[in-house]
Amino acid sequence: MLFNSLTFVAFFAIVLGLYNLPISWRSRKIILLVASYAFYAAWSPPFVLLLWLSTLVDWHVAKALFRARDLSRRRLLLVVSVAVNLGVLGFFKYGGFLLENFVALMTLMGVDFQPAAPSIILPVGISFYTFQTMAYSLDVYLRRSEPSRSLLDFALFVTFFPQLVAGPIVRPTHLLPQFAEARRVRINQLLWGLGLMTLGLFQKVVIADGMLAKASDTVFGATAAVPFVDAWLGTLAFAGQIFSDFAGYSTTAIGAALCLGFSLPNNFRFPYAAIGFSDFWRRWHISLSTWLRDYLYIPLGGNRKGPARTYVNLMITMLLGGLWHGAAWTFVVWGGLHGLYLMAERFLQRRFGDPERTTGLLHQVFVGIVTYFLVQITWVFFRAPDFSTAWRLVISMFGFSEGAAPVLATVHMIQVVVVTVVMLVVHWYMRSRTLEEVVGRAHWMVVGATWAVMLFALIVTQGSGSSFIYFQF
Amino acid sequence: MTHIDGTDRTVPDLAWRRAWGLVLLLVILATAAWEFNWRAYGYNSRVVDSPAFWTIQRKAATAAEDPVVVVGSSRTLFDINLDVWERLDGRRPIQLSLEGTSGLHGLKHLAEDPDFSGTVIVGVTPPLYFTGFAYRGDVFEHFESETPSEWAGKQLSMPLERVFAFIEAENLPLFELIQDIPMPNREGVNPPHMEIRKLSESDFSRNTSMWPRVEEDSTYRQGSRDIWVHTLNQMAPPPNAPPADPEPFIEETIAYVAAIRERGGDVVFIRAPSSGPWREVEAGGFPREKYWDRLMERVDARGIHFEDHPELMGLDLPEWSHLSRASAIRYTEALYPLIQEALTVHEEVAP
Repeated sequence: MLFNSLTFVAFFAIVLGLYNLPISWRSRKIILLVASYAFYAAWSPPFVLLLWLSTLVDWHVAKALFRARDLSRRRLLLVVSVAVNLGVLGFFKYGGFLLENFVALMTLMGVDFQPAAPSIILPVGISFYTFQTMAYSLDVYLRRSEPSRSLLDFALFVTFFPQLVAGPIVRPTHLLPQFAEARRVRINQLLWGLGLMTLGLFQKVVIADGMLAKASDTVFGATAAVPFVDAWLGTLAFAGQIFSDFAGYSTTAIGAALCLGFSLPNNFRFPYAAIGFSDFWRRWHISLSTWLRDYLYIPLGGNRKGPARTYVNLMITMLLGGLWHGAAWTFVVWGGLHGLYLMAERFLQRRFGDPERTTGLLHQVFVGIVTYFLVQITWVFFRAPDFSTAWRLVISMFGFSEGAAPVLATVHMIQVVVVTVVMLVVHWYMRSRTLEEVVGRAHWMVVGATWAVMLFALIVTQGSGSSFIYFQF
Repeated sequence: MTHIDGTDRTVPDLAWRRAWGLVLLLVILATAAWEFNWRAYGYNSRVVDSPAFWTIQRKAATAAEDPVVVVGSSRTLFDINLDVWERLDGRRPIQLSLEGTSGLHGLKHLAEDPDFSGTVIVGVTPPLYFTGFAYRGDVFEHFESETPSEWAGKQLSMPLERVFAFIEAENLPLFELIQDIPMPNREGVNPPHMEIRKLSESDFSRNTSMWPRVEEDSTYRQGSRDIWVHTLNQMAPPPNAPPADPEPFIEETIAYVAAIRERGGDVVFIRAPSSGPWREVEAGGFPREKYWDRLMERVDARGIHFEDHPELMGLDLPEWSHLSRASAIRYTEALYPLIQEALTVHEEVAP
């Protein structure tokens, strides 16, 4: 079910009530597990079977991995885990894409191959929970951790509803120990959790859906060239929309977990104030970027095998990171552009030093603006439905559009400019701060009034109950 | 800062209970003011006619024994008063009409449902019926793919909709309202909100009538007419464009009517009144003899055209397309016996 739905409000209230009954810790965990399956089944009950498959395979593989001493047996077991997880992901997420490209290749070779159109429904959140369970088996294989001793704890780790469908992608070493002992939920923690949930939903419903989606949809849905201003505002709108949508989900997830006494890791740290691309990826979708770093980039050799190999490793990691987001070549290009940026940054750092460590404010701001500008170019490929739309927009963004017709209404243009400016100011102000620090220093009336404004805005915006963008990944 | 047990996550130190108390106070006051504002403007607590609500009615059509079901566009939605029909017939029709959507889609949905058997009243608005237009085509997709969460969401929302007027998701979200602030746009850019804000209100059986403000507030009514004129201009086909071909739609209709009749049901077509620019556009672009009359000649069912019955004419259409509340009552009272007659006559002559 969606966080931004009445169903979730009722569901969460019931779960909170049952979870806080004076019963054993094991019973409370069973309540959470059943609630998590119900949360997932609320989309499509049959897909719970995939969760069970992933849970059982990795549970047994990790146990066997831990016991096995023979390297070839350990490798075989790891292959089983990876094959099952990536097989499920590949079938549901990439089946149609692979078939489409195979047909294109056959056509290029002059073979007229016309298969039946596949009708595969993508199970929501599959990319997130398969990566989470794979991390569990990989950690045991790499001897970074021991397998869980409790199937209940492990099943809950795979299924924990606050972060099940769109992350943060939690590491077993972070979450499993929290299931070991009964969690206490104090009133301050519960209220701070509810505050974070309000903030997250405000980001999603009011900012992403209410203020930015229309401008973004209008520009990216235009079938002809749009002028320079429209192209930029549409792209800036999407940049704000995807941040508010995804960071909103993560913040809501962290708040929901907190209400239950659990800590989830931060997934965003004000990324539009990044100084350089390494910094950007330390601030954007942190749980995915660290996953890719630890389970792909470093095993590939990381930066330990010389500059040339480092560049190749960076590019492979970012291309696969792009493909993780969606089964389309536009996502691969998005990842490839980030790979290029990271390679160029690394090259420049070797020559001129790390801009983030420089003390010159103007220098930092300049690099920050360049980073923000170049990130916008990547969002065009991320959002565009196809390459022709993407090229048309990029050309317009560089001022080369001819015969372009404006598409954005004045009210939408104003909304995008206001939200973008406010968002940038907030990100730069918060660049080296945490939300907890800022709230902790504020007067309770300021916090209460801000919270009330967000909650009221949520109530009167209502929203269309649209899905979070990252659900499709 | 207080740390969460065994983790590095912290909770800011703050007078949380006081802050929460302030939140509750401010939100209750602001929401009450918002509710008061919309009630003062003329909104009442009415059902949000969402795809989930249509799905509830649609499922009722399948479950009911020998129901009367109305499909069509907004004209059959506004013009057929379910209370009047129930008073005359004893049965309350199930209303499945959809704004801006060809009645052919509703007819198809029922015809392709093997478990449905009943009488279907199909509204024909020519510019929609003979083009297959579906402004609310999303409801059919929703019907097929409704998740348990979406079903539960509507069940939870309906008790709130009975209390609060501001829960009209389609009409009152904050940023839809902001779009209505008049400001100049660049040449070639349409104002963002070119739909009529609110024309009707529905009860929890989808019995729908014209919103009183359309009838009572001449400025609002004129605003609605202006938007219709804009819409009709946009709908106008390019010069020298060939007229819409009715044949594919007639063929489809024949097949769907046959399917419903095979299961013991029956079908009646109605052409509801229109006036002003709407009627001019319909008469010019979809002349009766080429569209409605051809449909009636070919299909195995009876039809009632308002122009053929004096009792269905001379009614009040404040914005040219839908009947006022009082006229909808008169219209339904006059239409009911005509439909019964059409069904009886058709039954007598049918093989």
